[in-house]
Amino acid sequence: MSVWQNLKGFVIAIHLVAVVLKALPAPEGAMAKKDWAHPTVQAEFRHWSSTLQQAGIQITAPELETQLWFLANRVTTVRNAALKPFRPYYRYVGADQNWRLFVAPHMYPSTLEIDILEQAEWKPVYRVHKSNQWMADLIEQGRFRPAIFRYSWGRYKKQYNRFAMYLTEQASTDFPDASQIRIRWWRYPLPSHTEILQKQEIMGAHHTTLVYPLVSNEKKP
Amino acid sequence: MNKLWTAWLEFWSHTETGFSIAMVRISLGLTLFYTCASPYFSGVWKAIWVDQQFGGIRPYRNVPWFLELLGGATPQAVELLLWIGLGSAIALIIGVLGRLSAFTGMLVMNTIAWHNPLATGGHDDLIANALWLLVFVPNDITFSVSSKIKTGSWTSNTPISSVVRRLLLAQLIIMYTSTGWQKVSTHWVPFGELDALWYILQQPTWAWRDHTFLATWYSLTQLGTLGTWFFEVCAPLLWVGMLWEGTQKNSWYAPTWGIHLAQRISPRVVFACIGIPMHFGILLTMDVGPFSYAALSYYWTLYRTDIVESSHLTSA
Repeated sequence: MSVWQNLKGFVIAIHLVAVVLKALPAPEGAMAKKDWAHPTVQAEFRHWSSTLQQAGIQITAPELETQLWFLANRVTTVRNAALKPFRPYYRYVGADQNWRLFVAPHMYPSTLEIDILEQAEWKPVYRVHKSNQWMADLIEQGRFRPAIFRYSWGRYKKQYNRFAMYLTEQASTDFPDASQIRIRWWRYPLPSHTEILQKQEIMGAHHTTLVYPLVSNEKKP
Repeated sequence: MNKLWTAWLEFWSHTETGFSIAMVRISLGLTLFYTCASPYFSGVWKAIWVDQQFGGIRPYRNVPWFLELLGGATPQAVELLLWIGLGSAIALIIGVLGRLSAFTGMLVMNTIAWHNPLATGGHDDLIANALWLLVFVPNDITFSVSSKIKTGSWTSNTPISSVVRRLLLAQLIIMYTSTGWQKVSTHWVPFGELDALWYILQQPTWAWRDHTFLATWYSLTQLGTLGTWFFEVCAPLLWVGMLWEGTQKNSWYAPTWGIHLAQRISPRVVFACIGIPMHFGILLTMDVGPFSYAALSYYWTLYRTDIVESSHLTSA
C-alpha cells in the first residue's frame, strides 16, 4: 500500500466521521425552555407519555419533559465537544449537515397579515394563498419562506421588527394615500381532516401586532 | 485490523466510467443556476442579502469571508456573488473547468447559507455538500466541452475514481437517515396518528396552495406519511442491499436468501422508485426552495457504472 493510498483512505474516513457526527440526531437549536413550552411541543409530551403509559411505563408528561431536558443537555454537551475539531470543516467548505426537515408538523402556525389604513379604514394588502398580493414576490419567494416562518416565533421578535420597518418603508412609496401600516400574525390550530369535512369554524387569534405610520416620499423633508 | 484497513482501501480504489458523475455535475449545475437566478431575477436578493443602509431588511455586522472579499453586504458585492454562482452553474452544465466551477459554486452556496441564516435551508447544505465532493474528481471528463476540446468527442470512456460517486451516495443516505431518525413526533411514527403529511400540507408558509381539499383523500396522506417515514428511517438498508447484491458467495454478512433477494429486486431501483416520486410530490405541493432539485441530482449516483478496473493492493 502506497502512502498516497493510505492517506486517501484516512481522509475519506475523517470526512465520513465528520459528516456522520454532525448529522446524528440532536436537539440543536431547540434548547430553549420557551420553545419547549410551545403548545406543539407540549402536545408531543402528552402524546408520548400516554403512549408510554399504554406500554406499561408510568410517566407523566411533565416528568417526561424533565427527563428529556436533562438528557438533551447531556447530549448537547457531548456533541459540542465531539464536533469542535470539525467546526472549521463545516464552516468553510460544503460539509455542514442540518437535516431537521419537517421533523414534526407545526400545529399552531401563524400566517402573516398586512393591512394599510386608508380613509380611516383598514384595507388588506397581503393575505397568504391569494393572488396579486402586495409584496408577495418577496414573502412567497422560496428563499424567503424560511425567514417568514421564523419571524412568527417569539425568539425572532427583533428580526420581525426589522422586517416590519422594511415593509413600512416600501409601503410609504407604494401607498402614498395611506396613513398607517399594520403587520400582524393570525395564529390558529391546524384543522384535522374531520374538522374540514364537517366544515367546523377555525378559531384563531392575532398576535404580535405592529402598527407604524406611513410617510409618503413626497411628504418627506 | 490490518485486514480491515486493506479492505477499506480496496473499496475506495475502484474506478468507473464518468457517466454518473457527469450527470450529477449537470443536474447540480442546473440546481445552482436556479438557486442563484431565482432570487436575482425576481429582484428579492437586495432585501435578503444587502445591508439595511443599501435597501436591505437587516444590518450586517459580520459577513462571510468570501463576501467580505467581494466588498461586503453591498448591492455590488452581492450581485457579483450571484453572478459568480450563475457563472459556475453554466460552467458545470456545459462542462468546462469542472473542479474550479464546483469549488466556486460551493463557495457561493456556503456564503449564501452563512450570510443570512434566516433565509437558508437544508437545500443550501445539500448543494454545497455535492459541489465540495465534485472538486475531488475530474467531473467534466465526459458529456462536456472539456471532453470535446481534449479528445474531439463530447463523451469519453476515460476511467475516473469511484470515490466521489460513492461519497455522494453516502451523503444522500446520511441526509435521509438523519431526518428520518429525528422524525420521532407522534404525528410521524407508525404507532401514532400518521397525520404528519396532512398537517404539513396545511402549513401556509410552505404550501403552494390551500390543501384542505385533501381531507377527502386523508388516508392517502397517511399512506404518504408512513411511506416517507419508512423510506427515510430505513435508508441505510440500501447499503446492505447493495452489499448483498454485489456478493457472489454467502458469508456472515450476506446470507444466501439476502443475496438472492437483492439480486432479484435490485435495491437501487427500489430506492429510486420510492425516492424520486417522493420528491416530485414535494415539488408539486410545497415550496421548499431547490431542495428536491438538489436531492434528485444525487440520484444519478445510483446508476450502476462499469467498474473499469480495481487497483491491486498488497499488504505492507
